[in-house]
Amino acid sequence: MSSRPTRTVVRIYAPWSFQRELVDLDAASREGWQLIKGGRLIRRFRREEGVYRFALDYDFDLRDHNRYYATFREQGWELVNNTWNGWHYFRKRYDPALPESAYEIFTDAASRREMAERLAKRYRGSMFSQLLCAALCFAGMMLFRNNMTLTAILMAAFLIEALISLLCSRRMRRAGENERGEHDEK
Amino acid sequence: MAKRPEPLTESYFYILLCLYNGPNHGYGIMQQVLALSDGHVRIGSGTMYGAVSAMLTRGWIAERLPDSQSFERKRQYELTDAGRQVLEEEISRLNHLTRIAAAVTGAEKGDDHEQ
Repeated sequence: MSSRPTRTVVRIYAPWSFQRELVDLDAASREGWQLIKGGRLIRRFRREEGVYRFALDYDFDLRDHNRYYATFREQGWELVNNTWNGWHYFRKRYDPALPESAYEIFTDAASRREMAERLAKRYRGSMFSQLLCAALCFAGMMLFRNNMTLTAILMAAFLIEALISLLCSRRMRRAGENERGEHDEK
Repeated sequence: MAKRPEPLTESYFYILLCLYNGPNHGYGIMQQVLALSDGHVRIGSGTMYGAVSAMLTRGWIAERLPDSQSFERKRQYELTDAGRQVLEEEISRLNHLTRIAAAVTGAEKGDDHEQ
């Protein structure tokens, strides 16, 4: 166990804001706080010298673990941790002699899109339940159409669910097209 | 009934090309791509893993188990016959594109217009 100070930070990043999260992790590293455990909600940092750059991959159905980690390890990436829902945090020691591209794990548009597609695919699953909720709200509206208050509540819920589903799918798609540093502001 | 094959992405092309003359491991491929492209094309780990996975699934490349008892146990890949064919077809496709581009734009010195 390390006797160095650690810090736990609670901060939510939307699934599509992984680029922004990386920018923040890199900044924390420059200030001397290294990520030791990443997660979508809770992250732990430790006071440690050295500057690292971070990378995030989403792969929920990871098949060949050995080959996956070997592919990252051979380019200098070390695994920080995996989250239960399929995110993999990596870090690499910063070397000013290397170009920026050395710190990108996705170096062409096709693979960036594939990563976003993996994310979108998983998210569509939960979007399905969103739409199901919306459908149930609608059904409820029909069923209780004599009750103004209930109908109004259900209609509001229906619209909110539908709106969330729509926004999420758009965000997912755009996340696949942005390179690091061009993240959306949200 | 054979569908016209999709063009390869640059990363896929480079990976197959680097395996043309013999097996290599991921890092070796990455270095060779850097050398071939004068430092312009770098294949990141995420891209590499995805491309290699897809090519393994399609049977274009195969994993070569190390024959020595080295601790390193570097994972090597080699081109299969199918992969070799895909690469060669892609090369002729690209050659064809270069030829017709030169013909249309008159890229040859002294060519002003198409005959």
